[in-house]
Amino acid sequence: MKSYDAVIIGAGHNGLICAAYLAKAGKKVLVLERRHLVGGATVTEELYPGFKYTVCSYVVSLLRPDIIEDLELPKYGFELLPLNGTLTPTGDGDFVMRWHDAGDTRRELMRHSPKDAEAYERFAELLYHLALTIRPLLSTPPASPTKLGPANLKKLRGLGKIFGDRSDHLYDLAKLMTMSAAEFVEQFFETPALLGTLSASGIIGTFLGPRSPGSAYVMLHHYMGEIDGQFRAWGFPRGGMSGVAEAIASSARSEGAEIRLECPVERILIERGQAKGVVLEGGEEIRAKKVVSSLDPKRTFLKLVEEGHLDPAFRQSIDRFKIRGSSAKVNLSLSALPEFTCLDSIRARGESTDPYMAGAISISPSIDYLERAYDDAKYGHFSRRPYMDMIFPSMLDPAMAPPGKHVASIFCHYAPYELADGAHWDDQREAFGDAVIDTLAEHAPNIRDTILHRQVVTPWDLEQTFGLTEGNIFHGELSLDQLFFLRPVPGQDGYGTPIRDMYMCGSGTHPGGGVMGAPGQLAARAILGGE
Amino acid sequence: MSDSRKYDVVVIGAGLNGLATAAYLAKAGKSVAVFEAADHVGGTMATVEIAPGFKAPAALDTVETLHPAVMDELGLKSYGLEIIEGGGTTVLLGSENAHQVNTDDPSIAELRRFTGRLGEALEKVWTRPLPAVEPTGVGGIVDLMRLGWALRSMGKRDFPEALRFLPMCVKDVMDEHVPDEATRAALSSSSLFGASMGPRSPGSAYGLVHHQPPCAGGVGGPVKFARGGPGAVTEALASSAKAAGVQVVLSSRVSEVIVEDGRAAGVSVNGESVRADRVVSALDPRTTLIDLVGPRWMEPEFVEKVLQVRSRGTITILRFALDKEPAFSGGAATLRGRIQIGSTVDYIERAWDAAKYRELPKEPLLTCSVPSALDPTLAPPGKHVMLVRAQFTPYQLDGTSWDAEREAFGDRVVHLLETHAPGFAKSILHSEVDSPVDLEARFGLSGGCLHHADLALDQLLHMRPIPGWYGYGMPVPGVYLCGPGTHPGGAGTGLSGRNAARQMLSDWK
Repeated sequence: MKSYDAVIIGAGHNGLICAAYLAKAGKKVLVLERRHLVGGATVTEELYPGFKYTVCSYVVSLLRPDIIEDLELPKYGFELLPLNGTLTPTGDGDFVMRWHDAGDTRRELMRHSPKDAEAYERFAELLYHLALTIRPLLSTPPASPTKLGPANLKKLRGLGKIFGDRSDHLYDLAKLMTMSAAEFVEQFFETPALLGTLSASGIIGTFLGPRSPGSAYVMLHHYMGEIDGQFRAWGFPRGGMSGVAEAIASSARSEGAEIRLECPVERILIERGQAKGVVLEGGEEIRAKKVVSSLDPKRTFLKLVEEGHLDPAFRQSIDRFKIRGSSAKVNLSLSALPEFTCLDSIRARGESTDPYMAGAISISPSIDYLERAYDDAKYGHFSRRPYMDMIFPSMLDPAMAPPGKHVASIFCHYAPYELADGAHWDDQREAFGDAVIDTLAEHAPNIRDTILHRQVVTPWDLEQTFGLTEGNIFHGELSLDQLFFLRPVPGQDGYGTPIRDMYMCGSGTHPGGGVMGAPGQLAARAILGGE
Repeated sequence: MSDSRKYDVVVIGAGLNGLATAAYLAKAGKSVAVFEAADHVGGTMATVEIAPGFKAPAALDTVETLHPAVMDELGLKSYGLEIIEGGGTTVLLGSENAHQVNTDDPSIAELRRFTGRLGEALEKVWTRPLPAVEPTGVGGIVDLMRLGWALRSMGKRDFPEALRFLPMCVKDVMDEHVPDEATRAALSSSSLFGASMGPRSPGSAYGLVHHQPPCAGGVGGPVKFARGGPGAVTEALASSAKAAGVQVVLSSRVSEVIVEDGRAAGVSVNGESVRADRVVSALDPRTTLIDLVGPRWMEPEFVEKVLQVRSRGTITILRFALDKEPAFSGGAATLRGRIQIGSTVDYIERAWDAAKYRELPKEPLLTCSVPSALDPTLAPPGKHVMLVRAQFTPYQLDGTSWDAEREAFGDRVVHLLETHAPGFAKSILHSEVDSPVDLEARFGLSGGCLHHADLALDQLLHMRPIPGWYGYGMPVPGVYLCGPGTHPGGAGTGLSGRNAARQMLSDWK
């Protein structure tokens, strides 16, 4: 029987990043993946001949630049294709376009509101400074005010210094941490579609509405990647999301990490409060000095660890961890690009609409629109008119679809995991897909005629296929009560667990979700430092 | 009153906090005058005669949150205040059934224990001005450490739990602790008193502790009334203040805070000027700083922050004079405490939904009290007064106005009460409906907000009333705030007034 320094459960981007760092440090590492491909929710799959879907995650901005550098990802094929900007149809025939280029955005906003055009610069500058302030938190394990150990006090002093140096932004940051996204952006702007689109980044992956306090932080979380200089906006990886996962996997393998596919783990082997390895479905035992789970906290502790090994109070905290899924994906194969009526004026001028379509298209005409979509979900229904963030990957990377044809990736809110009145997603899946297409057709009436194939990925599917408990894409909500030293649960922050030699490295740990990689990287550091 | 008269301090507004500030300052030897626009003291904590012989609360109906320190230090009982112990909350479940929240209920024991410990720790934060977060010298650091220790004293398990609890939504807290739906609704409603939030809004859990601290009986605890109505509290307070030398001047509306050489020099009252080096206002931050002081004395960035303070009233208050006892399900015992219509968390959430879109809810959340059931002095024999708070009713309505909607909304509330207390509509001798717009006009509350500024996470502690200006003193030297818009804020505790006086005395040169 082989023995490893570390066995990592799950080959999602965080599991792979953790493995790569451990292998780079000379450790003998094995990654175990249940599915037939690496990536977890960071995958490309050809589900319809010639058409490649980014089934779950679909854009990258948050991936930490130091990870890209440390793991030499470009050498292993990682390439990011920048999105042009964000197009928001206003719903009354016009549109608001936020371009990659600040000057272009200003000219566009002038058309809607000179006040907003001016405020946009102040807003971008403030967010930039706040992101700079908070960025160090993303590359260090969380400091906890509840612990008085010397290491923790040192971390707290470091934090105090960071904030002390930026005390002019202290209150702006405190407001951003506690306000709703809607109220935050309403301090700056008046154009409804701009307000809608900006506050929409406060609800991504979270069961909150734009008017729910705390959603402003989620907005900042999504802004974080934009300050890194490498790529100042969102981008699409060549080859789809597998382009990211494969590059990390290749980097890890080149350092000696082993990756076994189709190897579902049944449980973590624990003896006298210490992790000793894992048992695979089918009974195979694999011994390791450290066991690292990249799965979400609920799946890790409630499914892979036998109940007797956990303190009941800790188990209760894990039970109370909020992981409500709220989003879904619809992926389409298209015979042609749909025509958005809001771009009629561009077509009438004889200009190409391609530059407008080669970015994100946001269906978020106003804050109230998003809030009503949330109201449906609160009571256990999918949004009748959902919020959508849509891209055409094939416009950025033509290899994603046959020549002249296209794929669309549509991220949708809200689709609650738990449906009212005992309804099941198996019976609601296509009805939800219809609601998405019907809503899109309000903006691009010919879309129905262009659809060759449709995949609807509900929270139920995210759980069943990708192992995301309740379909939560962040492995746990990014709400204030579950962030920083409270993530995943109070008293057990960071990457260690109550079980010796067992660690966590997924998005359920600080600093949370998105294709960021920080949890995997910080967990590896904690594991190496703890030896 | 004339130019020659000069006080150490002028207080604007003779509500609970204004009078408390005045009394504490006078007890410390300062000469103090309080100017009140109305012809009686009390502000929102007053008793008003709505029909001959019928005395109803002006806005705040119960007094259990009045802080014991204020009551004792100012000797309110010796000035005639008598507290009557009331009952708990009864949630009506149609015309037949009712559910009484009982503090002995074992299923809420853990929640009461935890919120009790949290409340005791927070009380140390509420009962004094906040320590500076921009540590300036040893004193600031000592204060900060004291604050940290107050929370740490909760222990290894409760302290991290407390930090998790504070930003939570009340619905999640209920999901974790309370199995019974009617109890969940009762506790959610108590946490949302005067809030511009729903049960699913993060931060709403804080209201549980803020509105029902341990010293007021804790979460789910009983209400208390003042004999003679809530005005008895402020009348006793006024007597206490007068005994300490305070001049309380009624029917005197302050129209301006006089600023000379960039600092406070007095106020204009009824066209005359009254001199004082310090002016403290119990009115809300916006009214005080924008309307009375005037933006020209402050930096534009500060003025912008004042204008950004959210004070969105969501309560409509209805006062009734009744010919007979209302026949609520649950019987006469319910009349001793608070009566709630809205028996599920989702009912409350839906009532909030409408307000988000600047609409009136079809089925508002109603919390009622019948003070005359325990205090017969409030109504003629056999007759009653009743106060109803209807939530959530936005200040601003889309496509219509309160003048157009007031009567119809009042009818909607009466209709709802009738379904739970048959015969109610017929028993009404007199009724009044005060929408947030009316509350603004009547009590000078910006936005009709009873808390003067929303009790939301971003408007608490060092963010209240204005981020960075938590020390009661405002940028114009000599101008102070002492109303519930300041730390710790809201709902009849008197602590803002007490803290403000303490801060002013420590600033005194």
